Amino acid sequence: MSEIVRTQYLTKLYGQVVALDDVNLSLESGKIIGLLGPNGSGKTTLIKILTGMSKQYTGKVFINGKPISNESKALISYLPDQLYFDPWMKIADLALFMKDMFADFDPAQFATLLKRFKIEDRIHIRKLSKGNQEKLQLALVLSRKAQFYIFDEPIGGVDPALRQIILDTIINERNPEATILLSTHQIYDVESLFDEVIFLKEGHVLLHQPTSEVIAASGKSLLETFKEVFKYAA
Amino acid sequence: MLRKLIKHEFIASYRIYLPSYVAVVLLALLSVTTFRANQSLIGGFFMSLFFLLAGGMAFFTVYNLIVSLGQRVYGKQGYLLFSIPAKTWQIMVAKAVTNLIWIVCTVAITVGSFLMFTSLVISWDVFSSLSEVITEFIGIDPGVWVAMGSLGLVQLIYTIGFFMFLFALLNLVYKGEKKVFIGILLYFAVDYVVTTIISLIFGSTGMFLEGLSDAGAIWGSAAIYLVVSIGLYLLTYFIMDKKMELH
Repeated sequence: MSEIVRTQYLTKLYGQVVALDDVNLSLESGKIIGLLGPNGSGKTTLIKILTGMSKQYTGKVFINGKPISNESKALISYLPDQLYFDPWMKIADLALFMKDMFADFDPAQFATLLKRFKIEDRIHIRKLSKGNQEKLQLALVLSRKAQFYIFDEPIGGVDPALRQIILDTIINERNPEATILLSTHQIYDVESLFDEVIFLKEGHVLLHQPTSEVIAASGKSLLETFKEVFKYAA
Repeated sequence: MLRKLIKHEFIASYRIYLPSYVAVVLLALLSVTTFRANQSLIGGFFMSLFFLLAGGMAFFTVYNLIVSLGQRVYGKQGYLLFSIPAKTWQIMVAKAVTNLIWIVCTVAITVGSFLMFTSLVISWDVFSSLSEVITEFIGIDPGVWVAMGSLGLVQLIYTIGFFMFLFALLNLVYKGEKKVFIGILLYFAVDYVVTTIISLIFGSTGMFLEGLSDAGAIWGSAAIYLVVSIGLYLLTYFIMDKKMELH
């Protein structure tokens, strides 16, 4: 399998605070990878660097063998941990924007997902509830036939029903040959999804292994292992 | 990509600008109509509204410039903008071109409405007056017209570049919550620094321009603004391309 992401000695500082410390990672194509860690462990920082939202760091980052550039952005479909809509936007404007900007955007897939999420495509985005706006953003991301999907806390702060919809959609509607990197600190209902997991703590990679190996080595579920590693267990 | 970016910049802004243009023109027409119908009370009301709106167009344009170059680049919308496979210079050019066109349109609509209002209310033959002015200017030196137009254009490019640089710098140096306050302080600081640099490089601008012909002095001013603008755009490019940090 080819390598979609490689980081070498990736270090990121916020003032005196070390957000990422000499992170060396290699992610293979076609895998579903869980980026796990408590709040403040550096998950979002790592994702911002991979997606080009943060450019102040030391070390090297390669996407599909090349440094981060506008070319690498064309490969990545990114769901940030916040809503990025303009208040003036209509859903149709957003679909047109995505179609113009990304050659791999599939309007038919977008229409299908909107229908599944029961979102009307003729209304202003600001009139949608927060939950529907999150679903809309997810539909946009999954309507691309991207090589690399990055989801930053897609299930953080949503109700269990919506969480299940989001997870089902991610798994069923993604490009099957693509890599998925999904960050979360709520792993109790996502552990079965991951081929591999990365445990991130205070900017350090504590563990990067296939999920089956983590479970076999510890003799516990991923959730229990997570609790133990991060010392949440009683 | 640049063409698409410009297209979507217009889609993002026309719903704000076009209604305000329609409002200005409509209020000018309503003022004229009610005045001519001897409805002085209603006419006065519409006239007040018209002057308020026409005067407010300058603030409105600056506000939209701030939203376009600040919030929509470094705010949450930046997550969408910077996820697209566009080069930094393409994003900058798209923003500059779109805002430049809207500013020119705003000036044209506001001045045009004012001239229409004036000509119809006080029966001033605005067209013959304008043609007299134009004839007089053409009679003096056609080169002055070209130079003045160029200076106006360069000053607009400078203004947009100034705000672009201001927000890039704010994003670079400040990560806190008091962005508006720090932004205002930074505005005065950057303005002071730019003015100082102009003085240091060109000496007193007045002295630099002294001894030039009328058109030459205007071209000289345009050249100064152009050089400073290029500097601001290059600095902005460097910050956006190498140091940008979305929060």
